Amino acid sequence: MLYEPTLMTGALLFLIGLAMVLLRREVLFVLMGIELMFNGAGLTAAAAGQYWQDSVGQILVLFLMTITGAELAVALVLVYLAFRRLKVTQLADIHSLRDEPPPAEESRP
Amino acid sequence: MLWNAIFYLTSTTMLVSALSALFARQAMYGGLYLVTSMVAMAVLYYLLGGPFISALQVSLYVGAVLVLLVFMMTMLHRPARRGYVPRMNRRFWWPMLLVLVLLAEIVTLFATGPQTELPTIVSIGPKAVAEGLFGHYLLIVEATALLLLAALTAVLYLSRKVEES
Repeated sequence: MLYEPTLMTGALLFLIGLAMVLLRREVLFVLMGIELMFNGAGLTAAAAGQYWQDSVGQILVLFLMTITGAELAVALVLVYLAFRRLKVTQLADIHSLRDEPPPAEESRP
Repeated sequence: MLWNAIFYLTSTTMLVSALSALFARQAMYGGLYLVTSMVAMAVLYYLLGGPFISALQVSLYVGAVLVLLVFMMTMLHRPARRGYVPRMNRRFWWPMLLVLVLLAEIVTLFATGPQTELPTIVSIGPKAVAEGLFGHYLLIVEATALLLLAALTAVLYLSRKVEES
């Protein structure tokens, strides 16, 4: 098996994730793009670990997975809060830092 | 030879499904394409001699992360929302140009350079990974545990019921 095609696959997956972050406007798709970028980095790490026949690459992939889980949990709660309080799912609509109750919450019983 | 064929087939599947997720109209289809991509990724990990991370890829990404994403999609569901259509305007082409430049660079770098043959693929099992993890990298494992605790605390704090004032 050749080494460079493996690295290229990882880099292309990273690139597709980057394109997803840059081109899509929904927050969920941006999060999916970040997942893809993490995966591309993980593939590169696993290939490099196999290149040196060492377990360090797999350990790096493990840390990547853990950190992705922690990041995604917090990010999804923020997305949900943005949807519930501001009624937005597009990234460009989340632009307010002021902590004032939106009018939709006041009308609730 | 057979492993090469499996490798190229799997990486093609992975990249094509990731591209389909990029151009998916609805978030749920994007999530399903992402599942396909991640399962293909698990096969690639296995081909690269990592059975442990291959299993973890399935159980952690497909089993936890994607389920979380799909759960959030059902929570954010808006009926009859028009999907995203990649319009050919300036806001589409400028990032696309940057991505295409990067693509050309990557292909030039990896496809035209000298090719190195990987040595015979050695399967590095869970035992070697655990020895590294709980031997040399024990401090980082503790730091990661602390990070997970912080994330848990943040999620619990953010998702609490907002008091009626």
